Amino acid sequence: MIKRDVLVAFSLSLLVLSISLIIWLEGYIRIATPIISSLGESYLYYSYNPWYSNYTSFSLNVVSAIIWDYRGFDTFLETTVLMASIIAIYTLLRGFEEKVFLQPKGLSTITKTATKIVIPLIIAYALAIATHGQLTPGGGFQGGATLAVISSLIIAVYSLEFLYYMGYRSKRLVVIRGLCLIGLIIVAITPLLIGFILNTKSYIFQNMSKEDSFISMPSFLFDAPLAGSIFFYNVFELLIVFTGLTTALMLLSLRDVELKKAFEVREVYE
Amino acid sequence: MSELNLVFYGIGLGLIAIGSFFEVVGAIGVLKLPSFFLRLHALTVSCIGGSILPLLGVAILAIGLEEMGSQRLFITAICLISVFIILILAPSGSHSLARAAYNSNTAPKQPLEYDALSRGVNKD
Repeated sequence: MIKRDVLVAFSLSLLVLSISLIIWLEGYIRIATPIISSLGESYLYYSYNPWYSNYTSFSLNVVSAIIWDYRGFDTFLETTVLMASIIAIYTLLRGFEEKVFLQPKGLSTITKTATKIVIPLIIAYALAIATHGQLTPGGGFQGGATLAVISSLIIAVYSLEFLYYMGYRSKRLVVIRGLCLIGLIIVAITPLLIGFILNTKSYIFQNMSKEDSFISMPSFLFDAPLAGSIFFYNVFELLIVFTGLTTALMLLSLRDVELKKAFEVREVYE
Repeated sequence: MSELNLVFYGIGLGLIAIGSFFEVVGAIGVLKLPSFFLRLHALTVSCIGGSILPLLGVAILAIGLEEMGSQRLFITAICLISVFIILILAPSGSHSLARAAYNSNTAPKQPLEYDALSRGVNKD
């Protein structure tokens, strides 16, 4: 047993040493290959490039530009897949009723106060990740996942009843999700509708003006790059991911009493 | 590098060295101590001493690195905010762990010197 422990400790320290060696070497020699494929080069070149207004998306974050502008339809379908997974949970648990008006009972006051201090920080950080998705690394999905940490914290510290007391119901969350998905579709077909009214050519999921169509979403808000539809997509995606993950957490988490019952059933089986 | 910056550099490196000492002490404690509550104590030693002191060290060290320009103040602020968050969260996390283990009677309490909770001194 002791021999195994020594072996594990030795290999772990070797891992840390080799990672730090690589980080140190990176300042002196080139480790990653300097060759980028020509497609990747063109993404890097055009994603924020005001001199080529037909190809650019005015997004400083190239990942956001690719995800929501250059392959927007793909990302939209990914979002609907997340919706479908929540619907699958609902189908599995049909006939399930939420017990709403139980007394909230959580952990001790110390833990509750610490959570109360941290929750506003998490909210601010998640909103910053989502609404600055076109400027800094991040985006709607990452912001929504960060915001869903709050509901898991509340379930763990303040208990599930507190979430119901605050007005969360899984049906309401699914309705918000559906509305946000409709909002995504509306943003996507807005250039199409404007083109139809003005009788010019336009595309679905169009962001900036193209060679044969002059319709363009707003690229700047005062002096901050808004990147057109990418900002709206990120905001809607934030709400969709937050409500989706919160619904899954609320449906899948068990109360203390229910957990004890589950253990009793398992003991009877064994 | 001026003399004041050299002082900052020395203080920062010293704090990081003290922090690594606490980490080693905490690791030995987690491996060697007999019961859950004592191991939790060792964990808190390495969490507070081993992460807050090095973060403060990095904050002071970054002030001294003048060639980094205004970027060094960002590093300092990030380190100080992380210190604040860890100081709030690490004790409350270990508190809730200890409380859950005590109330549910899942961890053995031996070796035990004095148990104030069982005598009704502080019921919460």
